[in-house]
Amino acid sequence: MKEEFLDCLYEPCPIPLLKALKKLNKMKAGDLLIMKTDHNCSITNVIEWVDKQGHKMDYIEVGKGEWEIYIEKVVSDG
Amino acid sequence: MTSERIEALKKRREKERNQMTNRNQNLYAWLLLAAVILLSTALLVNQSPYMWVFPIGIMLGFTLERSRFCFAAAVRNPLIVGTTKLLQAVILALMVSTLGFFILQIVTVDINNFQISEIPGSLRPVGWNTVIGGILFGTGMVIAGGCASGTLMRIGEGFTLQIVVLGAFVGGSVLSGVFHYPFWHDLLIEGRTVIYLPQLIGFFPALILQLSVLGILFAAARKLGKMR
Amino acid sequence: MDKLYHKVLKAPWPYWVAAIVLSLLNISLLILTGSPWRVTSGFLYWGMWILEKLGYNDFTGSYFALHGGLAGGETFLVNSVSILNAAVLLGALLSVLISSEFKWRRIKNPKQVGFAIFGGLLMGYGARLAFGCNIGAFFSAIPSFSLHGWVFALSMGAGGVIGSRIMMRYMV
Repeated sequence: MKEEFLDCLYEPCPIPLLKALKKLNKMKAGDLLIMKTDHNCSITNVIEWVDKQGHKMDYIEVGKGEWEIYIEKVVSDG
Repeated sequence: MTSERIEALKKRREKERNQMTNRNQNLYAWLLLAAVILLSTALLVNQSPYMWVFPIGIMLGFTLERSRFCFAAAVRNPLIVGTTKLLQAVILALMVSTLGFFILQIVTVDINNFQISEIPGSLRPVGWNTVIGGILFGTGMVIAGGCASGTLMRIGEGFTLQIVVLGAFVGGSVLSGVFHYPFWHDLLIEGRTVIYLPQLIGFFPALILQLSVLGILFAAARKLGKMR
Repeated sequence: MDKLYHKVLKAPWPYWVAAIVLSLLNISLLILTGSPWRVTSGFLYWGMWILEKLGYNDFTGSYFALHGGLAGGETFLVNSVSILNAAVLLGALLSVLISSEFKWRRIKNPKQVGFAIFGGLLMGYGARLAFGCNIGAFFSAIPSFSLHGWVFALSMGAGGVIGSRIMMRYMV
């Protein structure tokens, strides 16, 4: 049950999504990933992808135009 | 979808994080809104040639930002991660616009006797220039992280990097549109003509064909989006 | 009231809502001005304005001389395409201020700048050859029933594959 942190401030689309994808691949089920981004597009992109993969996630705004995205890795039975 | 542990993490981070400077940007928003309304009214009152492009442009930019719409992502996301919601939306938009443009075109011209130049819309010659230009554009769009409209929108959001993209975009346009244009024109563009589908197969068949192709593409994008 | 603000002006609109709104705006633009949404010819005009300021004004054989067109009273700096572009930028700024999400997003490293310049140059160069970008030669061209829109769409997709390869290899 590790917690990983990914700083994606000032990264353009779709780098945050690709970094998250890479990181999640190395994580174990139940691990949490905290991502920081200031790119609103990335949030929608990450949400869509994470939903598709079946992981759990949510996000909060931590400053003006800055967000933290939290992802819990879920490994599906399939 | 959220989970209990994510909710707990959210609470913890909310507490941990430094008191966020909670000044909202409403004042600037109101000032800009007032300026936009004033300017639009002034253009309208003076019957300026820009009286429509200005307010519609504002609404286009507003909609793009508000929905995080991005044409570059619509093409790119299916290729790199297999998500297609944006692509589906773009195809839907093309279907709605097709219908609107069609109605405008058939009421504007005599469908039995018309010149291409009378048709309202974006009608341009097609040839290898379209292929080469499209490939260069598509490559650049993914690398730069946004297309032309996306670049403008991101500058509005405060992205310094996109100002660099805009500068390079202007530079590239001048390079091909001014300095290299005689070369490309002689090689590929000279003699190319507009191919207008209704002229080939008739107005209503063109409409049905186009809507069907877009419909099939929409269904395909939807299916792709559901696959892991 | 708070809830309405959050839903309409803070949380992102669904893509399909935007798709319909953008289409209706594009149709209105065509009806009211006679010309659909376009972007990149405005960038060419801005470039030519800069060239003029630098003392270069031989535009024989250029895109502008052969296919361009400015209405009476329009200049390379101020014309309907550039006003439209400026308005798109301002509209985005308005939206981001209303949701209190504006922030100067600085450049992180020189590598980003390199790719930004490379990508921008490719887009600019390609757009002129193809008579537009994915607005003028795609989003406005396909609904106009002009074949170049479809050819552009396929080519842009192929370019997207190349761009994605480059990005995955060098940028992540």
